[in-house]
Amino acid sequence: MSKAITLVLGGMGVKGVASIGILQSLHNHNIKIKRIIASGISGLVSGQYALGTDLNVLTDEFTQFFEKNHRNLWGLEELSGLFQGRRSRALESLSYFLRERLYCNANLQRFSVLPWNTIDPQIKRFFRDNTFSDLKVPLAISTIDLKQGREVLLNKGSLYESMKASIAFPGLFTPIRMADMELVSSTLYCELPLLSINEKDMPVLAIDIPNAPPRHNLHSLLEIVALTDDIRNAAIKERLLEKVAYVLRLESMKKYRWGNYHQIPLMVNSARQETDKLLETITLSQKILE
Amino acid sequence: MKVGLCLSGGGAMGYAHIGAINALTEADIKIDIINGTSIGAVVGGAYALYQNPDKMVKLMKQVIGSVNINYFNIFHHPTGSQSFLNNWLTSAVCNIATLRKSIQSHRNNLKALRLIFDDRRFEDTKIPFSAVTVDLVTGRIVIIKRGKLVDGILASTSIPGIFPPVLRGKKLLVDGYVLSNIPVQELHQQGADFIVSVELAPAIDTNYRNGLEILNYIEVLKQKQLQEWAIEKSDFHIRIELPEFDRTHFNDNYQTAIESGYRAIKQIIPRLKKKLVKANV
Repeated sequence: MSKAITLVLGGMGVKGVASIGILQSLHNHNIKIKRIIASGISGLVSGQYALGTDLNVLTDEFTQFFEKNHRNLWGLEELSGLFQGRRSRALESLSYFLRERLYCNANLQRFSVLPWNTIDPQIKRFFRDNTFSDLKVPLAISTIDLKQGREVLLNKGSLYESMKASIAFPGLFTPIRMADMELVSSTLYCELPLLSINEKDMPVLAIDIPNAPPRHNLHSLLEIVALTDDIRNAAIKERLLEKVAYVLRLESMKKYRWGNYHQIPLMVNSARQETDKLLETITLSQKILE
Repeated sequence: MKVGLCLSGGGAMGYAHIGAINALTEADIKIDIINGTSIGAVVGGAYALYQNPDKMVKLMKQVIGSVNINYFNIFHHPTGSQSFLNNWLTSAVCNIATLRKSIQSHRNNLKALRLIFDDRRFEDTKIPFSAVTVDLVTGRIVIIKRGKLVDGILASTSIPGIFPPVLRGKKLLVDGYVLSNIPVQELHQQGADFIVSVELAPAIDTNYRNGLEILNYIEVLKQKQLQEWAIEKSDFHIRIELPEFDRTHFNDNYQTAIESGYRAIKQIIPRLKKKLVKANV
């Protein structure tokens, strides 16, 4: 009899879409999932998966959405006026991009780079009036409550609101108010939402979607500050991964950057292929399937 | 059995460490090894070198009197006005500032550190001492325990963005607070058997006024998380609450901070002594 696992999914920015390929691969290998804990765009993907949406259709949905809205999304278009070096740095680090957008260009008064209405209709279309009780697989969305200063797992109520909180990257979108809480995505805190896993969740399978190692020719203070943000994020992730039994590290994802929305199908494919390969070559799948 | 003293970072709140050390020496608690991050490295280094809290206060007064060591953290002080001109000016200033590596140079910090440590080296300290920094190239913690005290401690106090990173060999070193504000683990690695850690706790402002402040607040939470994990490894942790104290203003209220540190330690001395006896120190 196979043992059901708790699946932990994360990934920086658009890279969370790779979760589609991961979920497809785990499904093909008959790995039973008792609960998913996800953050960022992985939360959106997991929500759709748990609602029973065809994952192939989901890849197309994401691709089309970004193609249609790329001018408004991420503010990446605005970066075209920057020097080449700063532009490429902004594409490498989400933290740098946000600081660049908010710190410069008289944006000190702003709460976010983007307004919610650029993305709101799509989330509504994905989740309508569904709630967590409609899900076929239990799901928890990891967020940070700014009021309490700690992680909060959302697992009941409206999926639409929770999904917004899942992708409310601080500085990119405004925080989501829910009851007494002000929620933002936990991705910038730690790429993998492992903070609240407990004994009941064991065994845990965490999927690490790594980023390319940062460049070290630092020219400006924003690059330095953003790099320290990333270093802290990596240290927290490394520490949290110590308590996880099974970790799949998808090295192929290193070549994609947080804002590579035009490479979504490629990302999904390479994530699926690498997960397949890892599950087939290492003893992990046997251990989980024992 | 070696007793280690681990001093946290915390900017101008660091004066409290002087009071803390004073109370520990008064209680005859012998410290065999010291490390520190940022201001913890400055105070820890001075004690390791001179073993004399009175001399430390004298040097500190000398530094305040002769060097301008206040810095203004512009990340936490957004403009309050919505006016176009103000925004335009902010934009121009910010865009120029972002092309620089830091808001301030090392000039004043170097002057202050030279006044305290002169040309002394880590090898000259009476108590073994190390300063904790983070290397931006590898993203790892680097412990400095050799070379000139000024150079090592300067790296440990180089807050990224405010001061430029310090180049040491192939390493680009910044303030250790990035990963290890209370470097307990690092002191264990250097052979301390019983660690007394001192944390300087400011009031955390949870009211954010713009997106940048939310981003900075997330960083504060991340640092707090790393700190909590570090404290778990400490044998005796002391938290000095300094809610009223501005950690960016080095010239004000140092007396209050020293007294707060002294009082906080004085209170826990009996408990600490009991724990030391239990640990066979």
